[in-house]
Amino acid sequence: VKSGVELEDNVGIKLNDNTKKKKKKPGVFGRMTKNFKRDKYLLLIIFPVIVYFVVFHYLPMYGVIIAFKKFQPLKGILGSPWVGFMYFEQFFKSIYFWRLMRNTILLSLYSLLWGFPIPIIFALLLNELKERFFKKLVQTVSYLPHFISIVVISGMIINFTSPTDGIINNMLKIFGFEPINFMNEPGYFRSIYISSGIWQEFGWGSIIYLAAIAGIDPQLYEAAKMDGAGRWRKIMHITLPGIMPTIIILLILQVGRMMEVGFEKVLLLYNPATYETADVIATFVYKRGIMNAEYSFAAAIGLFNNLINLTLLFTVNYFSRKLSRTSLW
Amino acid sequence: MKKKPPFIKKFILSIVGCLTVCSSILAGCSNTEKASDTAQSTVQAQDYSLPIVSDGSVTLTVATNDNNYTPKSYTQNLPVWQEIEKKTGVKIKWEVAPGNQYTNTIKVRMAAAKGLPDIFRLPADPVKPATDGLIIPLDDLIAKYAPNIRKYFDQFPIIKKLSQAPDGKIYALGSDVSGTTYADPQGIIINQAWLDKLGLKEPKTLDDWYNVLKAFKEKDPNGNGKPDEIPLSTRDSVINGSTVSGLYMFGSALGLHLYYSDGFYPDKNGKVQYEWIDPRAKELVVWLNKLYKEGLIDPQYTIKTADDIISGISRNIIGATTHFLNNANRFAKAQKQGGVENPNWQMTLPPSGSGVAGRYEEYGPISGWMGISKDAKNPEVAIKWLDYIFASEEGNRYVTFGIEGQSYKMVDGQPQFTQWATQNPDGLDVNDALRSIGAMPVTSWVRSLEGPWSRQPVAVLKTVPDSLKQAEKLKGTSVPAIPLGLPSVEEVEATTAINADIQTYKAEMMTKFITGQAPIDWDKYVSTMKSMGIDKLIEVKQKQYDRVKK
Repeated sequence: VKSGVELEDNVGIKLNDNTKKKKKKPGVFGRMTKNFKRDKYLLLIIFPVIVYFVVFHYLPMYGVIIAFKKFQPLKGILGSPWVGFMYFEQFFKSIYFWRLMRNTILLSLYSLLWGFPIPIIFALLLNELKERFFKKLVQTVSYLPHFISIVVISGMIINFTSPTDGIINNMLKIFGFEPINFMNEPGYFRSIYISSGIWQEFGWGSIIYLAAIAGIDPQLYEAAKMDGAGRWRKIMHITLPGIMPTIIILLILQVGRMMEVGFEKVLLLYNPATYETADVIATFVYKRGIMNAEYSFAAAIGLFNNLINLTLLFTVNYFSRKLSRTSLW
Repeated sequence: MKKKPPFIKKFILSIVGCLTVCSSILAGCSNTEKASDTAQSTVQAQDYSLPIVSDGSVTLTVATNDNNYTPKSYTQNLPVWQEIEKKTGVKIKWEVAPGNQYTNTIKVRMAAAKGLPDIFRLPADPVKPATDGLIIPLDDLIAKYAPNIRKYFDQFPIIKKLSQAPDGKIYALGSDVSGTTYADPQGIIINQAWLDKLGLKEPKTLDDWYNVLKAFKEKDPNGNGKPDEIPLSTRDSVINGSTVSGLYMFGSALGLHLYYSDGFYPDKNGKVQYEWIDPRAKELVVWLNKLYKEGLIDPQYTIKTADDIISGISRNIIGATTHFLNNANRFAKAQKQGGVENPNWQMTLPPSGSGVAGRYEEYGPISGWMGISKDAKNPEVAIKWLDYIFASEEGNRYVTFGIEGQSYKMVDGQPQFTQWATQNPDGLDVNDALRSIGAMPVTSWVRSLEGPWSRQPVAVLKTVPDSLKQAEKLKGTSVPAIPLGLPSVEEVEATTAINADIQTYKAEMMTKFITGQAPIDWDKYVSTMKSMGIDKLIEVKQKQYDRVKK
């Protein structure tokens, strides 16, 4: 009986009144209390998470108003004087504004373009491996670079690409090519930044896809086998569609982070010779704020970035919902 | 009412504390008396005598970055600070964080503006926190309670001027490093062993330098048969927020000041010029471009770190670099460990030109600030304590020389390092040996040009006879960097946006010019600088300069 009642509540269909005691249709409040009573342990479990988001993500949001204020510590956030769009204007007026925008967007766009499919392909390939030990080995080896600190990675990149004694240029020299000063050529910066990023993260990124693949019903594969499908067909018609929702959700999330280019890595890898392609919004803010703690300016830039991110997120989500019926909401 | 028990507890504790401190003071009585005797002769009536606090009732919190010798933290109550605590009777609670983290933590605490430590090291210059009301003006406190600081400022009026905010008040005490500019100048250091091997003389002009570097490149001075020599390898440093390359030191031959002054320098009439848009800077850039094209400059000069250069030096492939003088000795040591026979690194005289006597720029004279916060409950004690460690002869001796009998001994009234400091049993160099007992601190301290505060840099220098010889050779070949008063908040606000663009543009164009990525179109470069508002920046620097000069 009890489960029947629950079903009624969950589905929201009104069953025959006779199964219950005579009772008025429960109001919103009534339903809430009832649900609350029923789910109290689940709610208890999620409670810390809710508190976390309220305290650390929602409450601090009011602080974003310092983007429109000249923040003075003693007066606090609310007491500081308003300055309107001054900090936004300063940023837009910089002669480097468009270059910073271009570099930021291109760097993340290319990262997405090249970096996004590779973990998927890797997961698909890995899934086809029969030898368990070898599979585990490849997986472990491929995601180890994820744990190397970005400072070390950058040092390695600079060493490997050194025109005097780097391994890459040594190879070029062996084959009779002129050494290339990679880190000084603006044309190479994006390739180096993105390919090293892929190398570092593709193994780690494939884990979630492997998990999704593991969740696909094996019966589907058996049925396909009966129908005479080979490996390729199984991948194309079962595995890929099976993980498509995961792919799309991750894609939407990544697009929503478009303006967040890994600041430390750019800072460690760039130099004045490559500003042309490497100087991004985050490094610009860093260079500007190096003398003073410019909270208001940084908040203004952060707000600007987030607005763009939010717009992108909504756009991609909208199209995804229309086209593939998969979306975040 | 509920608070009663803790009060009583505190009271009892403080009595117990008093007793223990009193007894320790009694124990060290003879010492203390002597110190106050010598101090008293100059001290006026309202000034303090030691101990500053006799009952041990005052604890100051001091926030700063932790010891530069990382194995020993200030929180471990290092010997020097134990001694200082015994002398002053002021207990110190250190709130330290490792070097770079400290800046972040203190910035957050300053933004919160609550519960600030009594005395703390500022993340940048004192004007902004002073305007924000986070640190208090020190002038009255100094006038009333700090005889040694007064004496010190009287002797070095320029330091006082440089410490004054635009409103004329002093909000923080800065570490004075003017004494080290003689003992440890920054300049061009050359591989003397290579010079000797090739039978070349120390280069003086830019032409000499070109020839020497060319010979380094072509004549295989390291004798391994491979053309792996990098004749000139320098690194970039960030100085006052702008990126400067060691290469810019060669501007000395053209009478330019492109390193510590970043190109802002007064002409004969006291008008600040931006030498980076001067035709002479073009001459320098053309010359550097020639060197770069011929492979005489490290192709990675924009990303080389000090460690990269040391590693190149220990492999004996670097001919010249720029650094502080004390590194000449370090380079030789690194080479010896790398198996190089008879390494010899010497700082050259600054490059000169026709009619131009070359000059290295001096750094400082102020580096790092400490202020007293608005939350300090005992500013009088705080300033007295600062006075003692910052400007008194005895306090200065503690922070510069360490502990008598351990790291130094008095010879004819002058402190001299002991063998423990110069040939440390743990293998530390003299600086780290001193830091390991708490001397050479990260608090504000003084190494001045003269007076009782000037002895340590020379004493350190004397521990390495070769460096001493070089320092004497270089004496008188340096000029102070442009003395700029602290900028006001308005001046900073009016120029940060311009400055960020100009610094980016300058760094980028210079790199492109030198590496040949862009043709040296000087007129366009200068006109872009003008359109970006360089004149506005010069105007502000002029104001800062005038405030010091008036």
